[in-house]
Amino acid sequence: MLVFIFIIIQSCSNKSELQFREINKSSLTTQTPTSQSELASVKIRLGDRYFVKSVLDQIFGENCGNIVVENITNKMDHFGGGCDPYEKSFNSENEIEFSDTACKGANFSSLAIGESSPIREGFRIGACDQLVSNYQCLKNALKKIHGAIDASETILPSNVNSIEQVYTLFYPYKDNPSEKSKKALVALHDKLQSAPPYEQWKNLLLAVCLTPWWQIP
Amino acid sequence: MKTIPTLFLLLYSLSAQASDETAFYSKCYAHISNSILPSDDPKLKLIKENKLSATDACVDLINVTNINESTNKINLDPPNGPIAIKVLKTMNDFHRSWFESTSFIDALDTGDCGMYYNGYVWDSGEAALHLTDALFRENKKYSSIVTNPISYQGIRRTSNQDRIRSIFGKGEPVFFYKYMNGNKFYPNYISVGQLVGIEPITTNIIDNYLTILENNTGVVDTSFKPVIDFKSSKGAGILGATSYLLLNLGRKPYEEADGGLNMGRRWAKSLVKELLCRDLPVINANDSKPFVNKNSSIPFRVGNSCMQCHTTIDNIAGAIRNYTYVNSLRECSQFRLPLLSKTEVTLPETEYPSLGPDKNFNKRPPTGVFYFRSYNNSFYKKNFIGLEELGKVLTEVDDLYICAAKRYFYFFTAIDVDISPLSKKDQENLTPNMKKYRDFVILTGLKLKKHQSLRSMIKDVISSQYYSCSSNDCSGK
Repeated sequence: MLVFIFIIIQSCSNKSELQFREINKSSLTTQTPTSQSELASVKIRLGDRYFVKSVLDQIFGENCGNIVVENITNKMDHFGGGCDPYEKSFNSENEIEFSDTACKGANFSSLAIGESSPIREGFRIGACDQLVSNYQCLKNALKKIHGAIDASETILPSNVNSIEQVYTLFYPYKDNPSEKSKKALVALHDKLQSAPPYEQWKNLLLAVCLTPWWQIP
Repeated sequence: MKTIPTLFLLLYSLSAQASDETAFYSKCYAHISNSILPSDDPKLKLIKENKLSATDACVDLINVTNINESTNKINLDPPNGPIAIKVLKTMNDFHRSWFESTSFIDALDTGDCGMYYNGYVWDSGEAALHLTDALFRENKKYSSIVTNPISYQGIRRTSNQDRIRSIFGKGEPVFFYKYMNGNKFYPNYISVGQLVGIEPITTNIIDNYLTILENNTGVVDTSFKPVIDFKSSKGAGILGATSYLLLNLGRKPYEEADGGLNMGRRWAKSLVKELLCRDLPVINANDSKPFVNKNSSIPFRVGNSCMQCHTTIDNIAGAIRNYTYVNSLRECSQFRLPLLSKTEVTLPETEYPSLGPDKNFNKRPPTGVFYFRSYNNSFYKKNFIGLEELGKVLTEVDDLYICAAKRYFYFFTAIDVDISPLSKKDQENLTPNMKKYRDFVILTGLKLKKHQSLRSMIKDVISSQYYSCSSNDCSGK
């Protein structure tokens, strides 16, 4: 299964499909891809922890927040995103308000924008894995896919049309997957046909979640 | 019959255009609000119907975050309130990232005493608030960041209005105080919670403190005879914000400027780095040669390699020579406060001391000369007296605006451009793309100098080929 997921990540790294500029195609986990001289550098304009959280919240639901907070929001040194120490306040129940934006001990003037690193990718992959493995989170995502779940909340088998919908969850404003990516996703889908519906969706969602490009707004 | 394929083509092209515009808006929305564009966003519908351009929709996100002139707050009401809060935070966080020194505990030499609560008396992010105010307050000039005579603090909201409880949690409120013969000193705290506005600091707590000083001469250290100026601005926007001065002064308590080793040159270095985007030295070796004095007792005065930096920063630091970092009490207390005392000018101006330190340097007028080489190698040599005039000098320097353009360009495109003057070799090494990026940043900065509007500058950046190409080929063709 991992081989298939790897194929999908490779397929999704096609430059023409996601149309990145000057990106080191081998991986997003390499720093500062294409500095042509010291007089200027071009990086990938990654979203920071707030953006990544908002994407995952939108797909898996805010009640999966703990997984996202642990893996993304609390890792501001790796994901970037400002932290304003004055936001920390307590409500009358002595709970921290605005905990999503808390500083968690990081430098108050952190990265202006998110930057790529192997550690960041590790946490993101961890978040994807935990989210799709959580039955409730997975169901939250499936509710956004037509025909994935019925009224009694029974998970239905995936079909070839599901692929585009899963892709659109992560890339709502980007073009549909390229033929190459689609082929890889279809291959994964075919391979999963004998698996229970839950496993089918879990692996399809994981495959697309693992592609790094949705972190780029 | 020919009209049918034409109509089809037109519809197809409009649909493709709308799709491009949608992608553009979603990107811009994400950059400005740090969140994914919701599918029910009202502007999205208009864009899909080709009734609104993505660029205008994007600029409108800034417009709905306007800081109201009378309330000093953004409009929190629906439908725009929730997104306005996100935009305000995102852009203020971005502005916070311009500044390196943000912790009073790290910045001030507190010895073993500790100073736990300074951050609740001064906003360590005030410098960023000046920039955020310039962006979201309509018709505010960018140059105000170095000319504004007032200080700012954030207006923040929390469900628990008791600010002290908000800071220290449940239980008895912990008051920030210092007992002095039975008197208590209650400085006003800055508010905590979600940022919803920016207001001028109007609270005058200097009088309270002076009263205590007068009543308690035996307790309070009066040997220093400071003129306590608590929170008020020293003028010149960010340059004279008390928090910026305290965070960047880099001197020990009670160390007075002497024109030699003791100068607030870290502050000068910070403003060159943070507001002009330049590392030292910012002048050529030939520019600093005349300031070298082989007979000087000041170590760095004897070498030109040192003076290439010191000529600029020591002169700039002359503007704050009358300010000294002092503590509210000499004895240790977690409640003691760092303060800026101002020494009255009682002596006439002299030449900058070159042979040795001048023990009366801090009693002289705060003069200096701004020595700087701009992005195009043009040489600035401008005299000033005090912070206000220094701020005014900076408003005339192209690099103040080009630096802002550089930072915003990076924020939106992740393309980082060096805006230092280029040597002939550097120019030869510039690739065509890098040259285009640099030229664009310089041009955008020069435009900012003219129109003074950060919003217009944002529009310039996101309308550029370099922004749209971040989802395409970025060769700038």
